[in-house]
Amino acid sequence: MSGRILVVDDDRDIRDLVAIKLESAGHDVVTRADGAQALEAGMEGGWDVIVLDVMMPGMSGIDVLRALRDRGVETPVILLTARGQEKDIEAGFAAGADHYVTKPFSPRALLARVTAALG
Amino acid sequence: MNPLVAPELLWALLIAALLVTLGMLGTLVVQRSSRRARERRRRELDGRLRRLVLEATIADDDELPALLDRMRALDRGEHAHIGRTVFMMLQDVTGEAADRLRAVAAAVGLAPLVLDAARHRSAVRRADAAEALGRLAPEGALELLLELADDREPEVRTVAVRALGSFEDPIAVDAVTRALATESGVPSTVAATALLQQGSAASERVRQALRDPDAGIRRGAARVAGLLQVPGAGEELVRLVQDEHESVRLAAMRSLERLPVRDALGPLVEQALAGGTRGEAAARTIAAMPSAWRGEALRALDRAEPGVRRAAGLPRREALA
Amino acid sequence: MSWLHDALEAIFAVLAWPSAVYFIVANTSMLVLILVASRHFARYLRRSEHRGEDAMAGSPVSLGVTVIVPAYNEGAVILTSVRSMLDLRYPDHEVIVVNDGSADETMQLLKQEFALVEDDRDLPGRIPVRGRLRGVWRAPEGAVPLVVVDKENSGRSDSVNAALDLASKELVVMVDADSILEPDALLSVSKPFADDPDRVVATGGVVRIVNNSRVLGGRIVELRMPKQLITRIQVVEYLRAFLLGRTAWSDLNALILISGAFGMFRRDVLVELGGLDPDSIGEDFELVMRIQRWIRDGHRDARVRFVAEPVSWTEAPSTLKVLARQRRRWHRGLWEVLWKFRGMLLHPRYGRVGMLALPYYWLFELLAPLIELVGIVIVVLGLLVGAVDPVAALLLLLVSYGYGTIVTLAAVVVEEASFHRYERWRDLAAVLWAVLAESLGYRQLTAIWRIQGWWAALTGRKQVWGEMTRTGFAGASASGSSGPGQAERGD
Repeated sequence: MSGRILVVDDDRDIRDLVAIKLESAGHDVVTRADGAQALEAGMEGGWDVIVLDVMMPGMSGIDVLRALRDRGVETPVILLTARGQEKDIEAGFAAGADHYVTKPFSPRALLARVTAALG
Repeated sequence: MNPLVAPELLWALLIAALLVTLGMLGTLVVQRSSRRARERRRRELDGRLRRLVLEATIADDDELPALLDRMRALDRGEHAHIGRTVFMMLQDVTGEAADRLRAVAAAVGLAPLVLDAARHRSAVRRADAAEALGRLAPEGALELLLELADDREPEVRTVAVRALGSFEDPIAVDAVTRALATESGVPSTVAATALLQQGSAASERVRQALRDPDAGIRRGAARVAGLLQVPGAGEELVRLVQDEHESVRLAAMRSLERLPVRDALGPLVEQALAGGTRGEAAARTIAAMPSAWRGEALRALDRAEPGVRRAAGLPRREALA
Repeated sequence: MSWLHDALEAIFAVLAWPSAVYFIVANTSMLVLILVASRHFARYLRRSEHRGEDAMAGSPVSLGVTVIVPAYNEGAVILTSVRSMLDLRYPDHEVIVVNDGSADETMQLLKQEFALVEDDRDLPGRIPVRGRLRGVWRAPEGAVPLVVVDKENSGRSDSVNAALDLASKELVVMVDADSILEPDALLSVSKPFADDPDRVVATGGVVRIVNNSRVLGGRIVELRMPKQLITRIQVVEYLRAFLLGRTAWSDLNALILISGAFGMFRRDVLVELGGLDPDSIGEDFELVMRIQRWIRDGHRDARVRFVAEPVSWTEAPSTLKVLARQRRRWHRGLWEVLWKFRGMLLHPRYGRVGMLALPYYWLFELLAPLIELVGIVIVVLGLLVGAVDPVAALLLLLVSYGYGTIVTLAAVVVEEASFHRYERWRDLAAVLWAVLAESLGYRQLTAIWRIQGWWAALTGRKQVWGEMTRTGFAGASASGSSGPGQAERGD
């Protein structure tokens, strides 16, 4: 099944790599480059999955996630975290994340996570 | 009024200053315009070529050859641009997509360049080559990296050791372990990080390294043993809590936080009571032990200095009273 | 008026050549520093491909860092600031905030936001602290690594000392609550410690000016050139003195000033030295001097390093009034510290610090405003009464301001070839105008303020510690140099 997916990362390479992989699997992908824009897009709703980078300037992915959950947005969220930043994973789950993928990431494994989250 | 200076001197200096100023202003303008032109060119290349590289990362086995052929047909400038793009993207992905990117790198002729650069006489070029060998992993990369890990320049050795982190071959593990040595010229954190990246492939070698005669190797191995959860490292770590080198003791204590061993409590209490930095480290390790074990040890820290008691999470004395 | 004429003529005849030589040497020294720094940058930038910062960013074997944040009436920014410090990209760091007896809601905000609980762990008490402790708080187990010390007001340095006592990591870094940090700040500044763990004891990074840039959630999202000329001139000053000057001193292994707005130190060394001196008005300068003395007195093979990466951003004064206050304080601090450590001056035991860096600071930082102002008075008066040869006066002008401007221009060229932070053509024009404007009024004004600060120190008005030390703006530390240069002092 295909879904509408929001991909947020400040790194253009990662944004593009994730987007093309998800698009190739037939999903409808929209990208955002920072936390504030992500929150805005997230609040508009209509997403089936949100892929969210943790480390972004301004508003971190965890901040975005917390804000979304506070406002009652229950869309499944997959966090992208840097390898070795276990504290981000803990903080992410505490803020209401559903899954995480560590960078460097395998686009294929990420797609599998997205598919699983689409249930 | 006597003239202190001849007007000619002033004129000469004035003209010289003017020329220097104009020269610098010119340099500024040239630098800035050529940089902007370069960036424009890059953006233009990016617009045409980026999509192609991205498509390659998701291509099926049967689509890939056609894509690679299209890239082979491009000119040198375009090849260089694709090479840079691939090089950057390889930082971010693993698995199948990374293999695809490596195939792209091969198609645009990046691999032979990198292999050649590994023997360049400039240390900077060799270090760049080591970085690229790690990321692109072309045929023969491991052998070259092992060679670069023994390079005469510490800078090159450092990059090579870091790059070896992505190879799990026992020879690679051994080279990284040796780089932990005190006199290796490679920062201990770099070698230790590479061992962590090698993961369980490094376990056995790390366990042996805990008995190495070189203090640097013992320290590095002790530091990563807990993070790697090396089987059978517990006893060795307990022994290292009393190593002759303070840095080895500290590393062993850090590892015991993640790899708790009951026998460690005795030596740890002893270290904690000695106070100072290692006292605090010992106290932290004791506090990280399972609560069923640590009761007696924590009571023993009643006599320890306040800094150590803080590290163990023990309350203020006046709060007790 | 003929006595004035004769006197000025005599004075000028004696002083003209020595002062010309002074300005030439001063400007040439700065030029040499710029060249040393540019060589360093060239080496540094050529290695950007294989520096491997990302590999270390995720490595759990990195040294732990304690971030110390003294806060006095920071209610407006404290939450954003603490969040952004907790979010810094680093594998192992904790944050200790010290509420320095704030009269506002700083403490309540922290308690609420992080659900702080009382921290009843023992207190090491290794460092003397003056302000009475009201309590220690921490975030609940498993939440963020945050400790908050609540104490009575006793000034910034004493607050830092209170936190230093509770720090638990190998390295400590002191930042101001209103500084804006680069996400990678801890990574860049800790790198020398990781590369050379047995020798590096202190590092500092580049502090740059944030005015007019777009800031969101405690991070820079868009860097812009400041609007006012007075702030733009400071951009140029920072570039010359901070980025280039300190890079060069670090390369020469004679760095004696790390900005207090972002300095990283080995904790055991700071504890051994007893932390910051709460009575010093230039406490960051004082500390680094003390470290340098400790290194040389103990014949230790240790290093103080500067990292040419921007780590922290600060709001620079945008009015003359605030700028004046800042420069008076800097020069006062400069004098007090130089005087305190006068025994190291020209003492061979202190190596390049004693033989090179300190003489430079005495001659071309401390004395510069005095020589410059005396020179201006004599020349202007002399020209008025016809006692000074106009050609000689022009020559002096050329070797002081003219040469100084060229040196500053050289700094701009190096920046353009290396980091080039401001990319638009308009920004370049703005910088060039600032380079020129610096000599046309700005230098003369700062010279007056610096003399005032020095005078205040000499006439012995005691510095009031406590709230007074935090007046004005917090966080900057700038400087310059070269000929009729600018004070070099940190805040």
